[in-house]
Amino acid sequence: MNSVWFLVFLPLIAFLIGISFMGIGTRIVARIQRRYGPPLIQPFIDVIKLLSKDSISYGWVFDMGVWMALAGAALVVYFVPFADNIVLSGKADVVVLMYILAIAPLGMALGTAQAKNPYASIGISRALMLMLGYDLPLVMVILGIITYTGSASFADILSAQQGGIGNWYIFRLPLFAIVYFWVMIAEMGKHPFDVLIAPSEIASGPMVEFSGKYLGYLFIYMALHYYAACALFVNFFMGGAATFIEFYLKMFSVFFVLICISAVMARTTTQRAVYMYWTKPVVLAFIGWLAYLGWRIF
Amino acid sequence: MAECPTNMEVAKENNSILRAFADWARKNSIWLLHYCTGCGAIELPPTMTARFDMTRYGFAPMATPRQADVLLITGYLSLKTLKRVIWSYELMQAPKYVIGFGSCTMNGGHYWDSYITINRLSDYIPVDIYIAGCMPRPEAVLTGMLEIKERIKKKLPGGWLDYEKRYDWYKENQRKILSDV
Repeated sequence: MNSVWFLVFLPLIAFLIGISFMGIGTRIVARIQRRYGPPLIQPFIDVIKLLSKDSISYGWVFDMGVWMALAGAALVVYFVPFADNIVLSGKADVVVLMYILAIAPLGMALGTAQAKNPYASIGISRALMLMLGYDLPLVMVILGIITYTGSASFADILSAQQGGIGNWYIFRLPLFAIVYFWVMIAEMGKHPFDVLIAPSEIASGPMVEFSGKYLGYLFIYMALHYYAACALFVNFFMGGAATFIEFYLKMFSVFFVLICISAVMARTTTQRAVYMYWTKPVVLAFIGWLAYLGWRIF
Repeated sequence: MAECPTNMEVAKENNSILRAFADWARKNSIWLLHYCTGCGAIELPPTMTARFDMTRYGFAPMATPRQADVLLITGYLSLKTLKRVIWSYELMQAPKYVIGFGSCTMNGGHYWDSYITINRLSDYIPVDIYIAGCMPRPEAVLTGMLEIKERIKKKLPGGWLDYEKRYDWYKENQRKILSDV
Protein backbone atom coordinates (compact mmCIF):
# COMPACT_ATOMS: atom_id res chain seq x y z
CA MET A 1 0.00 0.00 0.00
CA ASN A 2 2.99 2.30 0.48
CA SER A 3 3.12 3.37 -3.14
CA VAL A 4 3.13 6.64 -5.03
CA TRP A 5 -0.63 6.49 -5.53
CA PHE A 6 -1.12 6.18 -1.80
CA LEU A 7 0.95 9.31 -1.30
CA VAL A 8 -1.10 11.20 -3.87
CA PHE A 9 -4.45 10.12 -2.49
CA LEU A 10 -3.66 10.32 1.23
CA PRO A 11 -5.09 13.86 1.70
CA LEU A 12 -8.18 12.77 -0.24
CA ILE A 13 -8.66 9.72 2.01
CA ALA A 14 -8.11 11.94 5.06
CA PHE A 15 -10.68 14.40 3.72
CA LEU A 16 -13.25 11.63 3.22
CA ILE A 17 -12.66 10.31 6.75
CA GLY A 18 -12.91 13.81 8.22
CA ILE A 19 -16.06 14.66 6.30
CA SER A 20 -17.69 11.38 7.33
CA PHE A 21 -16.93 12.31 10.95
CA MET A 22 -18.52 15.72 10.43
CA GLY A 23 -21.66 14.10 9.00
CA ILE A 24 -21.96 11.49 11.75
CA GLY A 25 -21.16 14.15 14.37
CA THR A 26 -24.04 16.44 13.36
CA ARG A 27 -26.33 13.41 13.31
CA ILE A 28 -25.29 12.37 16.84
CA VAL A 29 -25.83 15.92 18.13
CA ALA A 30 -29.24 15.96 16.46
CA ARG A 31 -30.23 12.67 18.12
CA ILE A 32 -29.10 13.98 21.50
CA GLN A 33 -31.34 17.01 20.92
CA ARG A 34 -34.19 14.65 19.88
CA ARG A 35 -34.11 15.77 16.26
CA TYR A 36 -33.90 13.62 13.14
CA GLY A 37 -30.83 15.42 11.85
CA PRO A 38 -29.42 16.07 8.38
CA PRO A 39 -28.40 13.24 6.01
CA LEU A 40 -25.00 11.68 6.67
CA ILE A 41 -23.53 13.14 3.47
CA GLN A 42 -24.73 16.67 4.28
CA PRO A 43 -21.21 18.17 4.82
CA PHE A 44 -20.11 16.67 1.50
CA ILE A 45 -23.10 18.28 -0.26
CA ASP A 46 -22.26 21.57 1.48
CA VAL A 47 -18.70 21.47 0.15
CA ILE A 48 -19.86 20.76 -3.42
CA LYS A 49 -22.38 23.58 -3.20
CA LEU A 50 -19.85 26.03 -1.78
CA LEU A 51 -17.35 25.21 -4.53
CA SER A 52 -20.05 25.88 -7.16
CA LYS A 53 -20.99 29.29 -5.78
CA ASP A 54 -19.64 32.71 -6.64
CA SER A 55 -17.04 34.03 -4.24
CA ILE A 56 -15.37 37.31 -3.42
CA SER A 57 -11.75 37.95 -2.48
CA TYR A 58 -10.02 40.71 -0.53
CA GLY A 59 -6.70 40.57 -2.35
CA TRP A 60 -3.91 38.05 -2.77
CA VAL A 61 -3.03 37.78 0.92
CA PHE A 62 -6.61 36.68 1.57
CA ASP A 63 -6.24 33.96 -1.10
CA MET A 64 -2.84 32.95 0.24
CA GLY A 65 -4.18 32.60 3.78
CA VAL A 66 -6.77 30.07 2.64
CA TRP A 67 -4.20 28.10 0.66
CA MET A 68 -1.77 28.21 3.58
CA ALA A 69 -4.44 26.77 5.90
CA LEU A 70 -5.21 24.02 3.39
CA ALA A 71 -1.54 23.21 2.69
CA GLY A 72 -0.67 23.23 6.39
CA ALA A 73 -3.48 20.76 7.12
CA ALA A 74 -2.38 18.51 4.22
CA LEU A 75 1.21 18.58 5.48
CA VAL A 76 0.05 17.51 8.95
CA VAL A 77 -1.80 14.61 7.30
CA TYR A 78 1.46 13.42 5.71
CA PHE A 79 3.25 13.41 9.08
CA VAL A 80 0.57 11.49 10.99
CA PRO A 81 0.88 7.69 10.64
CA PHE A 82 -2.08 6.31 8.66
CA ALA A 83 -2.87 2.78 9.93
CA ASP A 84 0.47 0.96 9.47
CA ASN A 85 1.90 3.48 6.99
CA ILE A 86 4.28 6.12 8.29
CA VAL A 87 4.68 8.32 5.24
CA LEU A 88 7.19 10.97 6.31
CA SER A 89 9.20 9.40 9.09
CA GLY A 90 12.37 10.53 10.74
CA LYS A 91 14.21 10.63 14.01
CA ALA A 92 12.20 13.54 15.40
CA ASP A 93 8.96 13.73 13.41
CA VAL A 94 6.87 14.42 16.52
CA VAL A 95 8.88 17.61 17.14
CA VAL A 96 8.45 18.64 13.51
CA LEU A 97 4.74 17.92 13.78
CA MET A 98 4.44 20.23 16.79
CA TYR A 99 5.76 23.06 14.62
CA ILE A 100 3.69 22.41 11.51
CA LEU A 101 0.49 22.06 13.55
CA ALA A 102 0.66 25.85 13.91
CA ILE A 103 0.88 26.58 10.16
CA ALA A 104 -2.81 26.14 9.41
CA PRO A 105 -4.25 28.40 12.15
CA LEU A 106 -1.65 31.05 11.32
CA GLY A 107 -2.60 30.86 7.63
CA MET A 108 -6.22 31.38 8.55
CA ALA A 109 -5.25 34.32 10.76
CA LEU A 110 -3.32 35.83 7.85
CA GLY A 111 -6.27 35.51 5.48
CA THR A 112 -8.96 36.73 7.81
CA ALA A 113 -6.93 39.72 8.95
CA GLN A 114 -7.22 41.00 5.36
CA ALA A 115 -11.01 40.84 5.41
CA LYS A 116 -11.41 44.26 7.04
CA ASN A 117 -14.22 43.06 9.24
CA PRO A 118 -14.09 43.67 13.01
CA TYR A 119 -15.75 40.31 13.74
CA ALA A 120 -12.96 38.52 11.86
CA SER A 121 -10.33 40.33 13.92
CA ILE A 122 -12.13 39.49 17.18
CA GLY A 123 -12.39 35.85 16.09
CA ILE A 124 -8.70 35.65 15.24
CA SER A 125 -7.67 37.28 18.51
CA ARG A 126 -9.83 34.75 20.35
CA ALA A 127 -8.34 31.87 18.35
CA LEU A 128 -4.77 32.92 19.08
CA MET A 129 -5.57 33.47 22.75
CA LEU A 130 -7.10 30.00 22.98
CA MET A 131 -4.01 28.57 21.26
CA LEU A 132 -1.89 30.29 23.89
CA GLY A 133 -4.03 28.57 26.50
CA TYR A 134 -3.89 25.00 25.22
CA ASP A 135 -0.35 25.00 23.84
CA LEU A 136 1.24 24.79 27.31
CA PRO A 137 -0.50 21.55 28.38
CA LEU A 138 -0.11 20.17 24.84
CA VAL A 139 3.66 20.68 24.85
CA MET A 140 3.92 19.22 28.36
CA VAL A 141 2.04 16.10 27.23
CA ILE A 142 4.00 15.59 24.01
CA LEU A 143 7.34 16.10 25.78
CA GLY A 144 6.15 13.63 28.40
CA ILE A 145 5.40 11.02 25.75
CA ILE A 146 8.77 11.63 24.08
CA THR A 147 10.63 11.29 27.40
CA TYR A 148 8.69 8.18 28.40
CA THR A 149 9.40 6.48 25.07
CA GLY A 150 12.96 7.77 24.87
CA SER A 151 12.46 8.75 21.26
CA ALA A 152 10.73 11.50 19.24
CA SER A 153 9.85 9.24 16.34
CA PHE A 154 6.36 7.90 15.62
CA ALA A 155 7.80 4.52 14.68
CA ASP A 156 9.28 4.11 18.18
CA ILE A 157 6.18 5.46 19.93
CA LEU A 158 4.01 2.97 18.03
CA SER A 159 6.33 0.01 18.54
CA ALA A 160 6.52 0.76 22.30
CA GLN A 161 2.73 0.27 22.48
CA GLN A 162 2.63 -3.09 20.68
CA GLY A 163 1.74 -6.36 22.36
CA GLY A 164 -1.63 -6.07 24.02
CA ILE A 165 -4.02 -3.40 25.18
CA GLY A 166 -2.11 -3.07 28.48
CA ASN A 167 0.76 -1.45 26.63
CA TRP A 168 -1.35 1.38 25.22
CA TYR A 169 -0.30 4.75 26.55
CA ILE A 170 -3.91 5.53 27.43
CA PHE A 171 -3.47 2.98 30.28
CA ARG A 172 0.20 3.53 30.96
CA LEU A 173 0.01 7.35 30.89
CA PRO A 174 -3.67 8.00 31.73
CA LEU A 175 -3.17 11.57 32.98
CA PHE A 176 -1.45 12.58 29.75
CA ALA A 177 -4.29 11.00 27.76
CA ILE A 178 -6.90 12.99 29.70
CA VAL A 179 -4.98 16.24 29.19
CA TYR A 180 -4.48 15.57 25.48
CA PHE A 181 -8.19 14.82 25.06
CA TRP A 182 -9.01 18.05 26.90
CA VAL A 183 -6.74 19.98 24.52
CA MET A 184 -8.29 18.21 21.52
CA ILE A 185 -11.72 19.71 22.22
CA ALA A 186 -10.32 23.23 21.89
CA GLU A 187 -8.13 22.26 18.95
CA MET A 188 -11.16 21.02 17.01
CA GLY A 189 -13.24 24.06 18.00
CA LYS A 190 -15.98 22.09 19.71
CA HIS A 191 -18.21 23.10 22.61
CA PRO A 192 -17.45 24.35 25.24
CA PHE A 193 -14.32 25.88 23.66
CA ASP A 194 -15.80 27.08 20.36
CA VAL A 195 -15.19 30.69 21.39
CA LEU A 196 -13.57 31.53 18.07
CA ILE A 197 -16.51 30.49 15.87
CA ALA A 198 -19.42 31.55 18.14
CA PRO A 199 -22.07 32.24 15.42
CA SER A 200 -24.49 34.00 17.76
CA GLU A 201 -21.93 36.37 19.28
CA ILE A 202 -19.39 37.32 16.65
CA ALA A 203 -21.07 36.00 13.47
CA SER A 204 -18.83 32.92 13.00
CA GLY A 205 -15.67 34.90 13.78
CA PRO A 206 -12.81 34.23 11.36
CA MET A 207 -15.18 32.88 8.70
CA VAL A 208 -17.33 36.02 8.61
CA GLU A 209 -16.13 37.28 5.21
CA PHE A 210 -15.53 33.90 3.57
CA SER A 211 -17.92 33.16 0.77
CA GLY A 212 -18.39 30.43 -1.81
CA LYS A 213 -15.17 28.67 -2.78
CA TYR A 214 -13.14 30.14 0.08
CA LEU A 215 -15.58 28.76 2.63
CA GLY A 216 -15.52 25.45 0.75
CA TYR A 217 -11.73 25.30 1.09
CA LEU A 218 -12.08 26.06 4.79
CA PHE A 219 -14.55 23.17 5.08
CA ILE A 220 -11.96 20.88 3.47
CA TYR A 221 -9.34 22.23 5.88
CA MET A 222 -11.69 21.55 8.78
CA ALA A 223 -12.23 17.95 7.63
CA LEU A 224 -8.45 17.38 7.39
CA HIS A 225 -8.09 18.93 10.82
CA TYR A 226 -10.68 16.58 12.35
CA TYR A 227 -8.87 13.62 10.80
CA ALA A 228 -5.46 14.79 12.07
CA ALA A 229 -6.65 15.42 15.63
CA CYS A 230 -8.36 12.01 15.97
CA ALA A 231 -5.49 10.17 14.22
CA LEU A 232 -2.94 11.76 16.54
CA PHE A 233 -4.84 10.59 19.61
CA VAL A 234 -5.01 7.05 18.20
CA ASN A 235 -1.29 7.04 17.41
CA PHE A 236 -0.17 8.58 20.68
CA PHE A 237 -2.39 6.72 23.13
CA MET A 238 -4.20 3.81 21.47
CA GLY A 239 -1.29 2.01 19.89
CA GLY A 240 -1.95 2.96 16.28
CA ALA A 241 -3.64 0.40 14.09
CA ALA A 242 -2.69 -2.46 11.82
CA THR A 243 -5.51 -2.19 9.30
CA PHE A 244 -7.62 0.61 7.90
CA ILE A 245 -10.84 -0.67 9.51
CA GLU A 246 -9.23 -0.82 12.95
CA PHE A 247 -7.80 2.66 12.43
CA TYR A 248 -11.16 4.10 11.43
CA LEU A 249 -13.01 2.46 14.32
CA LYS A 250 -10.45 3.63 16.87
CA MET A 251 -10.58 7.19 15.51
CA PHE A 252 -14.35 7.11 15.50
CA SER A 253 -14.52 5.93 19.12
CA VAL A 254 -12.38 8.93 20.14
CA PHE A 255 -14.57 11.28 18.08
CA PHE A 256 -17.76 9.74 19.47
CA VAL A 257 -16.75 10.37 23.09
CA LEU A 258 -15.68 13.91 22.19
CA ILE A 259 -18.92 14.77 20.38
CA CYS A 260 -21.05 13.33 23.21
CA ILE A 261 -19.21 15.53 25.71
CA SER A 262 -19.38 18.64 23.55
CA ALA A 263 -23.08 18.19 22.69
CA VAL A 264 -24.19 18.76 26.28
CA MET A 265 -21.88 21.68 27.09
CA ALA A 266 -22.44 25.41 26.72
CA ARG A 267 -19.88 27.85 25.38
CA THR A 268 -17.45 29.39 27.89
CA THR A 269 -15.77 32.75 27.58
CA THR A 270 -12.25 33.06 26.18
CA GLN A 271 -10.73 34.28 29.42
CA ARG A 272 -12.28 31.48 31.40
CA ALA A 273 -11.09 28.91 28.84
CA VAL A 274 -7.50 30.16 28.95
CA TYR A 275 -7.57 30.35 32.75
CA MET A 276 -8.93 26.81 32.91
CA TYR A 277 -6.26 25.48 30.52
CA TRP A 278 -3.49 27.12 32.50
CA THR A 279 -4.70 25.64 35.78
CA LYS A 280 -6.41 22.23 35.57
CA PRO A 281 -4.78 20.46 32.57
CA VAL A 282 -1.36 21.91 33.39
CA VAL A 283 -1.63 20.64 36.97
CA LEU A 284 -2.77 17.23 35.71
CA ALA A 285 0.13 17.06 33.25
CA PHE A 286 2.51 18.12 36.03
CA ILE A 287 1.21 15.32 38.29
CA GLY A 288 1.72 12.96 35.36
CA TRP A 289 5.33 14.14 35.08
CA LEU A 290 5.87 13.67 38.82
CA ALA A 291 4.44 10.16 38.65
CA TYR A 292 6.73 9.35 35.74
CA LEU A 293 9.80 10.73 37.53
CA GLY A 294 8.87 8.83 40.70
CA TRP A 295 8.55 5.64 38.65
CA ARG A 296 11.97 6.27 37.12
CA ILE A 297 13.74 7.02 40.41
CA PHE A 298 12.25 4.34 42.66
CA MET B 1 -40.56 39.30 -13.94
CA ALA B 2 -41.46 39.40 -17.65
CA GLU B 3 -37.91 40.11 -18.77
CA CYS B 4 -36.38 37.09 -17.06
CA PRO B 5 -34.88 34.39 -19.28
CA THR B 6 -37.45 31.69 -19.99
CA ASN B 7 -37.18 28.16 -18.65
CA MET B 8 -35.97 26.82 -21.98
CA GLU B 9 -33.14 29.33 -22.21
CA VAL B 10 -31.95 28.56 -18.71
CA ALA B 11 -32.21 24.82 -19.31
CA LYS B 12 -30.10 25.16 -22.45
CA GLU B 13 -27.35 26.96 -20.53
CA ASN B 14 -27.31 24.41 -17.73
CA ASN B 15 -27.07 21.13 -19.59
CA SER B 16 -23.61 19.96 -18.63
CA ILE B 17 -23.10 17.12 -16.15
CA LEU B 18 -21.03 19.32 -13.85
CA ARG B 19 -23.81 21.89 -13.77
CA ALA B 20 -26.34 19.18 -12.93
CA PHE B 21 -24.11 17.95 -10.09
CA ALA B 22 -23.77 21.49 -8.74
CA ASP B 23 -27.52 21.98 -8.99
CA TRP B 24 -28.10 18.78 -7.05
CA ALA B 25 -25.79 20.06 -4.31
CA ARG B 26 -27.41 23.50 -4.30
CA LYS B 27 -30.83 21.91 -4.04
CA ASN B 28 -29.87 19.81 -1.02
CA SER B 29 -27.86 22.35 0.93
CA ILE B 30 -29.58 25.66 1.51
CA TRP B 31 -28.18 28.04 4.11
CA LEU B 32 -30.49 30.66 5.49
CA LEU B 33 -29.74 34.13 6.75
CA HIS B 34 -32.52 35.22 9.07
CA TYR B 35 -33.25 38.91 8.95
CA CYS B 36 -35.23 38.95 12.17
CA THR B 37 -36.59 42.45 12.64
CA GLY B 38 -40.23 41.45 12.23
CA CYS B 39 -42.41 39.35 14.50
CA GLY B 40 -42.11 36.35 12.14
CA ALA B 41 -38.79 35.43 13.69
CA ILE B 42 -40.70 33.76 16.52
CA GLU B 43 -41.85 31.01 14.12
CA LEU B 44 -38.29 30.07 13.18
CA PRO B 45 -37.14 28.36 16.42
CA PRO B 46 -39.97 25.78 16.21
CA THR B 47 -39.08 25.23 12.54
CA MET B 48 -35.46 24.55 13.49
CA THR B 49 -35.89 22.49 16.66
CA ALA B 50 -37.09 19.00 17.45
CA ARG B 51 -40.69 19.09 16.23
CA PHE B 52 -40.24 20.26 12.63
CA ASP B 53 -36.43 20.08 12.28
CA MET B 54 -35.64 21.76 8.97
CA THR B 55 -32.07 20.42 8.99
CA ARG B 56 -33.30 17.05 7.70
CA TYR B 57 -33.99 18.78 4.36
CA GLY B 58 -30.53 20.33 4.28
CA PHE B 59 -31.50 23.78 5.54
CA ALA B 60 -29.18 25.34 8.06
CA PRO B 61 -29.03 28.76 9.70
CA MET B 62 -25.94 30.83 8.89
CA ALA B 63 -24.48 33.85 10.58
CA THR B 64 -23.43 36.18 7.78
CA PRO B 65 -24.69 37.26 4.32
CA ARG B 66 -21.45 36.09 2.70
CA GLN B 67 -22.14 32.46 3.58
CA ALA B 68 -25.89 32.37 3.03
CA ASP B 69 -27.97 31.32 0.02
CA VAL B 70 -31.40 32.47 1.12
CA LEU B 71 -32.31 35.76 2.77
CA LEU B 72 -35.33 35.36 5.00
CA ILE B 73 -37.19 38.63 5.61
CA THR B 74 -39.37 37.87 8.61
CA GLY B 75 -42.07 40.50 8.68
CA TYR B 76 -42.42 44.24 8.24
CA LEU B 77 -39.51 46.44 7.21
CA SER B 78 -39.12 50.03 8.26
CA LEU B 79 -37.22 52.34 5.93
CA LYS B 80 -34.10 52.16 8.08
CA THR B 81 -34.05 48.38 8.11
CA LEU B 82 -34.79 48.27 4.37
CA LYS B 83 -31.48 50.02 3.80
CA ARG B 84 -29.69 47.29 5.74
CA VAL B 85 -31.61 44.56 3.94
CA ILE B 86 -30.50 45.90 0.55
CA TRP B 87 -26.96 46.10 1.83
CA SER B 88 -27.07 42.51 3.13
CA TYR B 89 -28.66 41.29 -0.09
CA GLU B 90 -25.90 42.80 -2.20
CA LEU B 91 -23.25 41.19 0.05
CA MET B 92 -24.60 37.71 -0.73
CA GLN B 93 -22.97 35.61 -3.44
CA ALA B 94 -24.65 34.67 -6.65
CA PRO B 95 -27.06 31.77 -6.49
CA LYS B 96 -29.13 33.66 -3.92
CA TYR B 97 -32.82 33.77 -3.11
CA VAL B 98 -35.15 35.88 -1.01
CA ILE B 99 -38.14 34.64 0.96
CA GLY B 100 -40.72 37.22 2.02
CA PHE B 101 -42.32 36.07 5.22
CA GLY B 102 -45.84 36.97 6.32
CA SER B 103 -48.33 39.42 4.86
CA CYS B 104 -46.32 42.49 5.90
CA THR B 105 -43.80 41.87 3.11
CA MET B 106 -46.57 41.42 0.52
CA ASN B 107 -48.93 44.33 1.01
CA GLY B 108 -48.01 45.95 4.30
CA GLY B 109 -50.27 43.78 6.46
CA HIS B 110 -51.17 45.50 9.70
CA TYR B 111 -48.92 48.42 8.89
CA TRP B 112 -50.23 49.19 5.40
CA ASP B 113 -50.85 52.87 6.17
CA SER B 114 -47.78 53.48 8.31
CA TYR B 115 -45.57 56.39 7.30
CA ILE B 116 -42.36 54.49 8.01
CA THR B 117 -42.79 50.91 6.72
CA ILE B 118 -42.74 49.66 3.15
CA ASN B 119 -45.73 47.88 1.68
CA ARG B 120 -44.33 45.69 -1.09
CA LEU B 121 -40.89 44.14 -0.71
CA SER B 122 -40.54 43.03 -4.33
CA ASP B 123 -40.36 46.68 -5.45
CA TYR B 124 -36.95 46.97 -3.81
CA ILE B 125 -35.31 43.54 -3.95
CA PRO B 126 -36.39 40.54 -6.07
CA VAL B 127 -38.43 38.12 -3.96
CA ASP B 128 -38.54 34.48 -5.04
CA ILE B 129 -41.15 33.13 -2.64
CA TYR B 130 -43.74 34.78 -0.47
CA ILE B 131 -45.07 32.83 2.50
CA ALA B 132 -48.59 34.03 3.28
CA GLY B 133 -49.99 34.31 6.79
CA CYS B 134 -49.88 36.46 9.86
CA MET B 135 -47.89 34.66 11.15
CA PRO B 136 -47.28 31.64 8.92
CA ARG B 137 -47.13 28.42 10.93
CA PRO B 138 -43.94 26.32 10.81
CA GLU B 139 -45.65 23.98 8.32
CA ALA B 140 -46.13 26.92 5.97
CA VAL B 141 -42.55 28.05 6.49
CA LEU B 142 -41.26 24.57 5.62
CA THR B 143 -43.51 24.44 2.55
CA GLY B 144 -42.12 27.76 1.36
CA MET B 145 -38.55 26.58 1.85
CA LEU B 146 -39.25 23.34 -0.01
CA GLU B 147 -40.69 25.44 -2.83
CA ILE B 148 -37.25 27.07 -3.22
CA LYS B 149 -35.81 23.56 -3.54
CA GLU B 150 -38.40 22.75 -6.19
CA ARG B 151 -37.51 25.90 -8.14
CA ILE B 152 -33.82 24.96 -8.18
CA LYS B 153 -34.74 21.44 -9.29
CA LYS B 154 -36.85 22.80 -12.18
CA LYS B 155 -34.02 25.21 -13.10
CA LEU B 156 -36.34 28.21 -12.84
CA PRO B 157 -34.43 31.51 -12.95
CA GLY B 158 -33.66 32.91 -9.52
CA GLY B 159 -34.51 36.45 -8.50
CA TRP B 160 -30.87 37.56 -8.57
CA LEU B 161 -30.89 37.31 -12.39
CA ASP B 162 -33.83 39.70 -12.43
CA TYR B 163 -31.94 42.03 -10.10
CA GLU B 164 -29.00 42.09 -12.50
CA LYS B 165 -31.26 42.66 -15.48
CA ARG B 166 -33.51 45.36 -14.04
CA TYR B 167 -30.92 46.87 -11.72
CA ASP B 168 -31.81 50.46 -12.71
CA TRP B 169 -35.49 49.93 -11.99
CA TYR B 170 -34.81 48.48 -8.54
CA LYS B 171 -32.27 51.21 -7.76
CA GLU B 172 -34.72 53.91 -8.78
CA ASN B 173 -37.41 52.48 -6.49
CA GLN B 174 -34.92 52.25 -3.65
CA ARG B 175 -33.73 55.82 -4.21
CA LYS B 176 -37.28 57.12 -4.36
CA ILE B 177 -38.24 55.74 -0.96
CA LEU B 178 -34.89 56.04 0.81
CA SER B 179 -34.11 59.58 -0.33
CA ASP B 180 -35.11 61.18 2.96
CA VAL B 181 -33.81 58.54 5.41
